[in-house]
Amino acid sequence: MKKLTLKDSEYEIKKGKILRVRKMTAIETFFEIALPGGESLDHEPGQFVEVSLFGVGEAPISVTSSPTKRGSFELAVRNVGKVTGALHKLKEGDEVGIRGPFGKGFPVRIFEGNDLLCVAGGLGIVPLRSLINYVIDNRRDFGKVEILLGCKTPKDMLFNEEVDEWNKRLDVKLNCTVDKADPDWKGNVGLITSLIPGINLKPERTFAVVVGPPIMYKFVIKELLKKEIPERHILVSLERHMKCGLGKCGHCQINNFYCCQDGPVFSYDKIKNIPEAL
Amino acid sequence: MKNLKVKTQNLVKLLDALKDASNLLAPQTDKYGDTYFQQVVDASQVVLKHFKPLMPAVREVLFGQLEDMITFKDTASGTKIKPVKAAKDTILFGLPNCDLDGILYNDEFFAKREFADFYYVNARKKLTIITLACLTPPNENCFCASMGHGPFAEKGFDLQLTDMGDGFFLVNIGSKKGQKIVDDNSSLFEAAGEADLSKWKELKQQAEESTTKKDVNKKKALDNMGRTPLKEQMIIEISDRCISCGACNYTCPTCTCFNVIDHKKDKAGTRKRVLDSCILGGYFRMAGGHNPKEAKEDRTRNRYFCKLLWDKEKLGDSGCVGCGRCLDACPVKVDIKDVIKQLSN
Repeated sequence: MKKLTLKDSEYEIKKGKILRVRKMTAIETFFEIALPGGESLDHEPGQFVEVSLFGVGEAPISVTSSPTKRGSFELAVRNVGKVTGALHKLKEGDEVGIRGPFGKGFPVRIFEGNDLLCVAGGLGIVPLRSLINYVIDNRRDFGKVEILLGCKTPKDMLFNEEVDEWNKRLDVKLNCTVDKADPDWKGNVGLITSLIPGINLKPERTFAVVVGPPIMYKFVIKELLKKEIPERHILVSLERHMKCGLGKCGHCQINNFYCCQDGPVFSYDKIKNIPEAL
Repeated sequence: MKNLKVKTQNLVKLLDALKDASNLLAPQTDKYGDTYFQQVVDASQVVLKHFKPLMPAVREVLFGQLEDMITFKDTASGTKIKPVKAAKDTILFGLPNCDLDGILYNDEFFAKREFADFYYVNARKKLTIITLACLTPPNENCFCASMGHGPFAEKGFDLQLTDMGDGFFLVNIGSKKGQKIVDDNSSLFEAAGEADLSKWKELKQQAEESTTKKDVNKKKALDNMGRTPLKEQMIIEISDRCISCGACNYTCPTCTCFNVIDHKKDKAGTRKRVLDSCILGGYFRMAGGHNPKEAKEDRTRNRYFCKLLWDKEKLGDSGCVGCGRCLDACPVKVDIKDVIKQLSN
C-alpha cells in the first residue's frame, strides 16, 4: 500500500469559479464553470462531476457541455434538493467545489462510423447535449444522427436556441414532442414513444442513446426493440444517489454494479435482467 | 512462521511498553461491566481472554462510525479547505480473527482496487494488528470456521497470540512489523518447543471444531445464492420480520457503505463521513424523491445478495466472515447463518 496524499486522491476538491449563470426555466438553471488556471475538466460525454457547497453538501451533476468546448464546462441543474437548492442561489463569480469527472460516459469510439438515435425525455437532454455537441463537432466521424426530444409542456423545453440550431442543420434530424401543447406550439403532441415507429433506421448500424425520467425507459426501449435494434446497441444513462463517485459509498448500487463507476451509462443487455435498474 | 512464547506477566510488560511507544487500543472493561476497545493507560487492565466486541475492530481506527474528511473555512479570498490530521501510529490488540478478516476484506475493498481510499489507506499504513485466537466461540452465534475464517488466523496479522492455559501465550509472527515488536522486546519472549507447538495445534483443532456448524456448507450456499429460486422466498420471509433498523449493517465487519455530511457553524465547518445502512428506507432515495429500492423487500435483497453473491463476484470471496454479529444485534433475530444453512442443501 502506497501512502496517498489528498491531492493525489479522488477526494481532492478543486475550486470552480462560476463564469455565467442563466435561468432556463422556473426550476432549472444553467452554470458555466472554470477550473483554476483554466485547467481542462477532460471529461467524456455523459460523465458527471461532484459539486460541493461547503456546509451544505455534495451532489452528482451531469456535465452538459461537450469536451470539445475548452476552458470551461457547463452544468444544467434542476432545483430538487438541498445542494441543488443552494446552487440556485449562487451568482457569477461565486465558488463551487468540483471533483471528477467520474463514471463511464457514452462510448463515442464505438459509435464512430455508425448511425445515432438520441432519445431525450425532460432533463435527459442535459447529459445528452454533451454527446450531441460532441458528435456535431466531429460530424464526419458519425453516420446519420437523429434526435428525439420530449417534455411535458413547451415551457419546460431546455436549450431552446441550441435545439433550433440543431434543427437548422442538414446533417441532423430533429423531432420534438410535448405531452401537453400550448397555442404557440407547432411541433408534435404526445409521448416520446409515439415518435419511434415512424423512424427509418438500419438496426445493425444504429446506436440508440436514451436518457430521461425512470418511467420513460421501459416504454422507449420496448419501441426500440420493435425496430430490431440489438440490445447492446441501446445505451441508457441512469440516475442514482452517487454520493462519492468512487465506487465506495454504496448508495448508487444497482445489484453488483456501482452506478457511479460501472455507469451511469449502461448498455441495455447488461441491466435488462435487473428488475429495479429501469 | 516463527513461533515464540510469552509469559502472561511479560505480556503485560509488553503492552506497557507498547502503550508508551504508540497509541495502543485493547479490550478493557468499564465500570458498568462492558468490554470494548479503549486506549490503554494501565496495561494491567487489558482483558487477556479472547472476546468479540459488538462493534467490529475495523470501526475503531480504519473506517469509523463517524470520521472527519476535511475542514473548511470561509475567508475573504474564498473557502480554505484542509484535510484532516494524518492518522497516528496505532496498535490494535486483542481482536478476534473474524475482525482481522473483516479488516482484510476492507483492505481489498478500500485500498487494493482502483481509486484507493485516501482516508483508509493512510490509517491502515499506520496500523499494527495483534490478534488473540478464540479458543472457544465467544458466543453461540459464532460460525467463523464454517465460513473459512478462523477462529485462528492464518494470514494478515502482525502478531497472533494464543492462550495456552499454562501461564503462557504462544506467539505467531506474521509480518516484519510483528518481528520488530518481538526484536525490540526480545527479553520478554522465549522460544516455543515442539511440545508447545503440538499443544497449540490441538487447541486450534478444538477451536475450529467448536465454531464449525455441521449444517453450513459455504461453497454450496454461495453457489446456490446465484441460482436457486429458494432464495426469493427467504428474502420475503426476512423482509416481513425486518424492522429496518440497520443494526446488522452497522455491526458487520465487512459493510463498507457510508454517507457524507457537512456540519457548519458560522464560517467554519467539517465534512464527515458516517457509516450508512442499505436496510434503511431512505438509503437509495435521490433528490426529487425517486427511490429505486423503496420496498423493504428490495433492500433486504440488496443486503443478502451483496453479502453472499456480489462480494464474491467483485472481490473473490463472500463478505460474511461468520462472526454472527448481525444476529447478536438484530432485535427480531434474523439469522444469516440460517439463510446460509438453507442454501447449503
